[in-house]
Amino acid sequence: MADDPQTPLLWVLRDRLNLTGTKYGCGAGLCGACTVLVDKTRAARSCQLRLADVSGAEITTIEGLAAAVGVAARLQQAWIAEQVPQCGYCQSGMIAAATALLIASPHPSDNEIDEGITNICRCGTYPRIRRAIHRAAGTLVEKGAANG
Amino acid sequence: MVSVTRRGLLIGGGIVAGAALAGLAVGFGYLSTIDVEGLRPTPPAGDQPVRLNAWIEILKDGRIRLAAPHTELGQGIHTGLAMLVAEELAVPLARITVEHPVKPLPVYANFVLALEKRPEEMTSAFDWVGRRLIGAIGLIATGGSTATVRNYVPLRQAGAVARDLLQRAGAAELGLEPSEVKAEAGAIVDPRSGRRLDYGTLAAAAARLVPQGMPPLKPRTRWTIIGRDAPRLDIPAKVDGAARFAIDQRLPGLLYATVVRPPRFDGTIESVESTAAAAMPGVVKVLPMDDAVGVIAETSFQAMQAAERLAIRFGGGDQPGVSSAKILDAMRAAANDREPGHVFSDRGDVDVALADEADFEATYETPYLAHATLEPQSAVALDDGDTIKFWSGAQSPMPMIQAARAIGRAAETHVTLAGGGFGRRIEGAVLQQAARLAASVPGRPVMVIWRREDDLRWGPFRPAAVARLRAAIGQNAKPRALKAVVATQSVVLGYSARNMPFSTGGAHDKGNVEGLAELSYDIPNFLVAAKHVDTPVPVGFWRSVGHSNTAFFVESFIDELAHRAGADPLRYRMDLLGKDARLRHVCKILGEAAQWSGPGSGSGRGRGVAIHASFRSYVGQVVDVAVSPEKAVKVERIVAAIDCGQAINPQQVRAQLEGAIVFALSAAMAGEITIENGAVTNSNFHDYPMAAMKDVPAIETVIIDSAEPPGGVGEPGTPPLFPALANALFAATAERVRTLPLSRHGYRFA
Repeated sequence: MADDPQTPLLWVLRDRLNLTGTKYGCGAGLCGACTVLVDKTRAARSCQLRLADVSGAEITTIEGLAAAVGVAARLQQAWIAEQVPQCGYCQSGMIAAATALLIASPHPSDNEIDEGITNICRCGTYPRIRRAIHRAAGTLVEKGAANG
Repeated sequence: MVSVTRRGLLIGGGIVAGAALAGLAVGFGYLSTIDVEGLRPTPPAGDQPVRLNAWIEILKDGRIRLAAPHTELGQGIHTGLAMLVAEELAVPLARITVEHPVKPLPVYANFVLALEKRPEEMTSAFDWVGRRLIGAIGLIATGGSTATVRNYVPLRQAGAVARDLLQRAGAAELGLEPSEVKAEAGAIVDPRSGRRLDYGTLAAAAARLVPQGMPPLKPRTRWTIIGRDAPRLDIPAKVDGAARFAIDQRLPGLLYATVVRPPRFDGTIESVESTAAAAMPGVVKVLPMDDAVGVIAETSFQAMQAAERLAIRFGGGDQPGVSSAKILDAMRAAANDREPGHVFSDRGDVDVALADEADFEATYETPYLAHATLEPQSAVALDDGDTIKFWSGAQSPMPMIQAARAIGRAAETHVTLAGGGFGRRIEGAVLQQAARLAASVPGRPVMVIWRREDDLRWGPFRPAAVARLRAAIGQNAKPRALKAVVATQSVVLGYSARNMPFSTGGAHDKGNVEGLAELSYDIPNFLVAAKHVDTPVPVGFWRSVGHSNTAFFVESFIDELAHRAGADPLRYRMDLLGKDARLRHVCKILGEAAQWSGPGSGSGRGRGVAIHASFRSYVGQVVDVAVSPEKAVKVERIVAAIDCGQAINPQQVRAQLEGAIVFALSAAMAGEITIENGAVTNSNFHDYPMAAMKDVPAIETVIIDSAEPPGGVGEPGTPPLFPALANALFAATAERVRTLPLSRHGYRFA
């Protein structure tokens, strides 16, 4: 890798490895569009990780997420079933964050989802994301006529 | 000839630009040659996909390629347009792939945006000329919630004409009459023998036929696709990282760039000391331009790092005292002074009715707002010496063509998926920069990405506004007079100055009062006036444009009148809607869906309602809030009802309502671009915050069943949320918020 060890992981993924599924949104760890899975357990904002920080760590991006972690494949199916994405730009990061959430808490409550997913979706797909996470977790409760 | 309206003005400038562009001498003979129907097939050539008309190509394997001249910004338009074609072409939706066409044919122009009527209403001589002029200049654009309106009839016709060709070709092949065969699931079928000929095998023969008139369109009762929930065609690629936005284009030899612009709106580049930046790793070039300094490097991060090392002396900035606070002062003064302003609506005699003093008056204020698309402004350009090739999620290819022309090149326009639009991507600045940067490294593609801070600071912004509303109350506590004066900045004026070859001078911009000037309430004496307050702040089209301000003004005011009268706010509105059956029906359905029983009795919980018609659709919303003594707001429930005429893909109508509501919720709570010393002080999402998962409840949506022609759905859900939320807060706390955002009054999300 030719990059300076201080280079954020985000830009190594995108511009060196051409793994473009991980997005640049703010460069400040605020929006979560660049979220990746570290060591198949936790979500991290790759714009805030220096190349030097992840030496020896296993990084999974959206491109490899479903193959690496079973729950991610279920989340992707749930995302399609609930028709979550609009522009789609934030969704790689959302799915990575949701994957980490379900690894930590396989049957999350609404409250756990609300506290656990702090990424920004500018299109406002939050209600569908919440439903999709429940669907993937097997905790979806149909109520009312929403999205009927 | 071209009407002076908000979007008309946009076109007025465009016509001149386009005519200059193509060097056209416009005349009847010339206009007659412009094809604005696009229904003729192209003679087949070898193994190429067969083009049955301007929209529909058939591949050998029977797949359909739909040329959709609208940008997929997230609104699901590519799927909606494919549904219109699939219905008449008789193909499964999943067989269609949708691409924005590269070649800007006249038939792809957005006639609805320009002429402000539906295609099926364009029957006059003016429309005949107008369509051809607009086609000639290639006004392809996505905005104003028009794409479905624009294509509802024409794309079904395109599907029907193509199907008719296939049916005739199939019948000939089967030795039957066209009336003896059926089009079904992508094949022509002989019902008696069961023989099937796939479209893929018939396309070449079909393309040699001549369309014969317009086959009748299927009646609504026989539809199997339109009006039913369909999965979006673009979603599978948006869950596994495969979707390619502008910033994901990877061309051989790609270079990456960013730009540095003067911090002040009217700033200039005086000098650039680039030695340190140029010595940074990976830096290829530092290019001073008119409005910015570009840095080209081998990676985006290198370009961004080097940009921070540039030492730039900025000039201009001769209005250092400009601040959003002072601008609001000026707007307040304008809204209250005795100048009449430009009157957009006037019936009865407001001044007599109001006499010396209004029974009730209130002043409302709104801030500047940013679009903050999650994908920042971005574009790729490649200069091959004659032509600049562009890739960008632009809402129109026209700014690409203009950007190339400005440096003496032709343009090849590739409109990509966009990471959000909301009106932001109709602007040309990043395309102009991309063209100039690409021209500095011929043969190498250059990707420009604005840093978030730049994206947020440079605008253009939704204009701030101040409105003073005064009412005289008559019988049954109803307003017998309403006078509204709106002081704000013209969006058209700013847009045309930035993007058109001349300023169209639209200070009297009806967009400033849209949604207010054509208010549906029965108020016999009614006057709406606007005052343009000139500022150096760039303003532009922001999701729902003027409606985002006017709905807050008028629906807060009506709510105040209802509460003062001790009336139920929903009932009060319905009683004022004698003439607008559709909006009245929305109220009824909304009340039922929300189980409306009044605004509540305060004590920290309350419900608010608001209704608003915009972009040919009618929306009502009910918001429930719980507010702590510390002003932490929990939005507990949102119910929305929409009459958008015929819904094409209902689940996507719901998605747009949900999204439009969340968009407004972010803005209402804490959205505020603050300007000091002629520059924006906000920089990123920490000081321009967004609603997050925890702030957004389930949103219940009701689509009113309607066979009326479609209205827009991308924008109409945004305006009512502002007043519905403020009205709910009033119901909960008895504090009437007349100045947005709510954070100014100490409110925050719980």
